[in-house]
Amino acid sequence: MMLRKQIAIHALLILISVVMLTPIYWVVKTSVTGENLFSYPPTIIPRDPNLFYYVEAWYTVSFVRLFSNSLVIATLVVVVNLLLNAMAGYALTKQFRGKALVLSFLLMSMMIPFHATIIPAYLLTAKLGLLDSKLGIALPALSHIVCILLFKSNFEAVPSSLVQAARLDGLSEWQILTRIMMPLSKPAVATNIILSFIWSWNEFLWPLIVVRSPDQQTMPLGLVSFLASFEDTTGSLYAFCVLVVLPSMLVFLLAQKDFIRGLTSGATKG
Amino acid sequence: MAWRTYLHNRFVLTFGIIAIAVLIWNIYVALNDDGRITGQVVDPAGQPVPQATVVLARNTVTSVETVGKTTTNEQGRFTFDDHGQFSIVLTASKGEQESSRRTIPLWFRNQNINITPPLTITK
Repeated sequence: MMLRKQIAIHALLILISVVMLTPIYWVVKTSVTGENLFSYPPTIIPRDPNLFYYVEAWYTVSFVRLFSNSLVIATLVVVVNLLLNAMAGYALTKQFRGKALVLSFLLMSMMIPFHATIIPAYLLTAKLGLLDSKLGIALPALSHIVCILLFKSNFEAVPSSLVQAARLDGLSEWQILTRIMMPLSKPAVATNIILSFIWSWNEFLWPLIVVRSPDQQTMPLGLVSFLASFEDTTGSLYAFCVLVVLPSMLVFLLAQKDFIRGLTSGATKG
Repeated sequence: MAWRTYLHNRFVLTFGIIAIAVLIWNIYVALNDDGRITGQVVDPAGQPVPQATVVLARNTVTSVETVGKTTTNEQGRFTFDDHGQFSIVLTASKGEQESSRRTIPLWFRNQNINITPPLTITK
């Protein structure tokens, strides 16, 4: 009976996995065959696969420029996110007047979609003179409330006796954060890195609004210009899609263990 | 050993392997990017065709654009230098005879390549 149940559960999981992975498989398959999406009957196994569409995608758009722009922005976002979110998260573990209000304010801010704040964000970026710059693209992503709360819950799971001992040893608050809290919250750090990297890497709407010159374009913007100029080159387009997604998938796969731990560790306080 | 632990980190290993692969690939590209295309034009019997015109072209979104022309020598061989393309289209002709158009995708821009099998001109 147990075995049957196990088989049924695994069959269901396999089915769900197949449903989830089929579009990704289709994109990768099209990128190596260049097969028209509307060809009938569709083939499951790629016929005459080759990597030449990747070469074409590489040279058709300025891939190195797009990639380096995205990488610089994502690195900036990850570093600043780690710094700001950890500091904010640590501050929220303290007791101070108005803490509940601050927390409510942060939670309320999460309810407002970014699209609703895009005009003020644009005006603010313009006032700062950061339009059409990497810092301007990175600006709204320099801190994420989800990550602040993640750090807060992870820091709260650290025994207070450790913090007190560190304080008795003469460590400053900054030193407690960097030498005690952060090393003990590696899953939260990994989660923060993954989330901020993926969000920054995949961001499309904000760069579309603030970027004017091709020199500042990121990978998702390159994808759109690729699509607009070369709509017939199915293989190259899909090869470019794979190249856009690959870095964030790689980062996620490498850190997924810590990512899952980071999301769950704060939940079991004490 | 601290450095051994550091090296066995999956991030260091993955990105290290990628960096080494990129370095090796770039060295290979640097050694083979003179843009030299060599090949031969033959008739249906496999005999070399001297003084045949070989046209080097590239595919654009809408058409095929000529990049260069040359003629074969006594052995039916031809050469192009510094072609600057990542995908080439070759055709050979002599008088009324012409070969079929051959599209050759390359692994990188200006790649050296020897065309095999030879271009065969037919009626």
